[in-house]
Amino acid sequence: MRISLRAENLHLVSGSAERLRGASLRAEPGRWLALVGPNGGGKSSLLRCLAGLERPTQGEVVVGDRPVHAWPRTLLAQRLAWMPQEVLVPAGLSVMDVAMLGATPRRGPFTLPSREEQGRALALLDELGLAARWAEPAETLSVGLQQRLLLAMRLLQVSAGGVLLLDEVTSAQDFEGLVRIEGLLRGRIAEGATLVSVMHDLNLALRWCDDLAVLAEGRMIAQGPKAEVVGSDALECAWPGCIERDELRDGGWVFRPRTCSSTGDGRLHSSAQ
Amino acid sequence: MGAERLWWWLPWVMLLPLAAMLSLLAGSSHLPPSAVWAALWGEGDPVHQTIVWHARLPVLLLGAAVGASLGASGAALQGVLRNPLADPFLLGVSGGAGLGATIGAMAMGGTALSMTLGAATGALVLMGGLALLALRLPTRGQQASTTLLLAGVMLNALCGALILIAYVFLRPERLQNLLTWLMGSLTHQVVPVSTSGALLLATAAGVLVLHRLSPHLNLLALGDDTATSLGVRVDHYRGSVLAVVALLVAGAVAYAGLIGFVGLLMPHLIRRVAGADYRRVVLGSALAGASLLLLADAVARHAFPWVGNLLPVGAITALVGAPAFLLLLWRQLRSASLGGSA
Repeated sequence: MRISLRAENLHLVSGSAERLRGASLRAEPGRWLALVGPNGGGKSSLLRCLAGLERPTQGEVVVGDRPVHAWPRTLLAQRLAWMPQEVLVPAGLSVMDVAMLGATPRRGPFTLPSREEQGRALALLDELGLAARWAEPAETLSVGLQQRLLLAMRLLQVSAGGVLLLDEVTSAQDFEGLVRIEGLLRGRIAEGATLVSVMHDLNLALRWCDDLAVLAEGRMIAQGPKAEVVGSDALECAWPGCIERDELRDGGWVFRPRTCSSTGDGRLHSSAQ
Repeated sequence: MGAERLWWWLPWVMLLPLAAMLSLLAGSSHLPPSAVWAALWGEGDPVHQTIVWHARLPVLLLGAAVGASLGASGAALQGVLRNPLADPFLLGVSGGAGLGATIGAMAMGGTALSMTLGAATGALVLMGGLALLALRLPTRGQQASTTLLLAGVMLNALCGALILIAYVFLRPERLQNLLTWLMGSLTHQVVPVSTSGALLLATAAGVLVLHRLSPHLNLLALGDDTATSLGVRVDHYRGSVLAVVALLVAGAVAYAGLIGFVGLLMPHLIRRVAGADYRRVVLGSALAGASLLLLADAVARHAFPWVGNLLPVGAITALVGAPAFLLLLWRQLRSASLGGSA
């Protein structure tokens, strides 16, 4: 199941705030697309539109062969998973119970979980380093482990292939978590999954992704293979006056926030915008 | 889940026969347990048989049905509205059912059927209004939940006032009866054992439907967006849960009036013993509600012999429930303020 994802000229107004002002995006199966950009630039709003949770005031989102809102909810849920930024697990459920919530789209309210599904959930928990704790209450896990658990739930939701929309899935992760998550997601991409991940750590995004999309003030400044985007000045445009880049000997890049000592008083003047 | 939690339902299933026994033994005329037992099987003194089959057994079945309805309804409401203080009585659903039942009683001569139909209409209308209000509240969390409760309490007061106005037009001899009903009573009228048995069966069906719908309540706790992204049609789901709750509450109110706090407290009790998993909380609240309402009713009829059979069970549930509500409210406010400063 290889599904591509396309958003054309999305505008989104919620209340008095204009969250998206003509953002377009293309995500292809078998590639990792990292979505980066300044805080409040519309990354989460765009992801919610892609997941069909928000109707753009203008523009269209197409998942596979039809608009996202034309999909019946359960069918869409079997093909597309969305993971919000907030780390929140329901009270009173075990780690296994929470992971099994991911099987919801494949069963009605009146059917019980199958052994096979539980086996798959356990395998995912194992890959994320949670297998030994499957019977513990999920609330007692640390935030980082809860975040991994919520990812396991989404990976159980869509099997091989499908679309994964992950909002800040690494924000609470240590090195072990990063290694395990990268491994799992790479495996999914090799199986033909379409992955869009919002990331704040630019260097990590560059290390992991194939394609990079830069969203600022609700507009897509640049999108393409990461070398192309980094080669342009899109990142400097997204954070004017805030980032510095170092070229590595192997041709890669490392980005740093500009330090205060490098220019005068170190304050960011509005003229820099 | 620890091993001790596997048997969470055991105390409630064991409590039920105990409560049933106490309920059968409680009454204005003293009957020894052996006489009650014999009468149940159609043996012994015909007078005893009449008392057991026409007075006590109907109350037992009615109490179990009403307690289970209110307990399961409270749990489902708390889940679907994401509000731990939700309760059919506090949210005014019971009041709406009561008003409907009163209108039914006056318009169609006070048959049980007319009261039930009226109660169902009233509960569904009020539930619909409440759902619309809950979905349109601009803020989530603490403030929204308090607003909803305030609205419910006011709706309840409004329904109460309209019921009292309706009573002005009643003949005094019916008034006494309906006032006891209004306060929440299992014994204000004689219900045939077939009727209360039918109500218990209908309640069991409703509770089972809620229990089968309960897994999604865990998902709803993660927010509407997460539930939607997992394929739940949140509006449909919420609508069906609220409709089943409205019908359960209507049945309870038509036969036993406005009994408060059972729906509020049972889920909290179950969460303490069995954890907060809604797959347990809904069914557990029904079992606990049935047992504890029967116990409360036995206390109401037993503990105050000098007032005879007149103390409505609603007085007992409010006596226990209101302070418990304040305690829960205080805890919620305290945890909110702690969370805010952390």
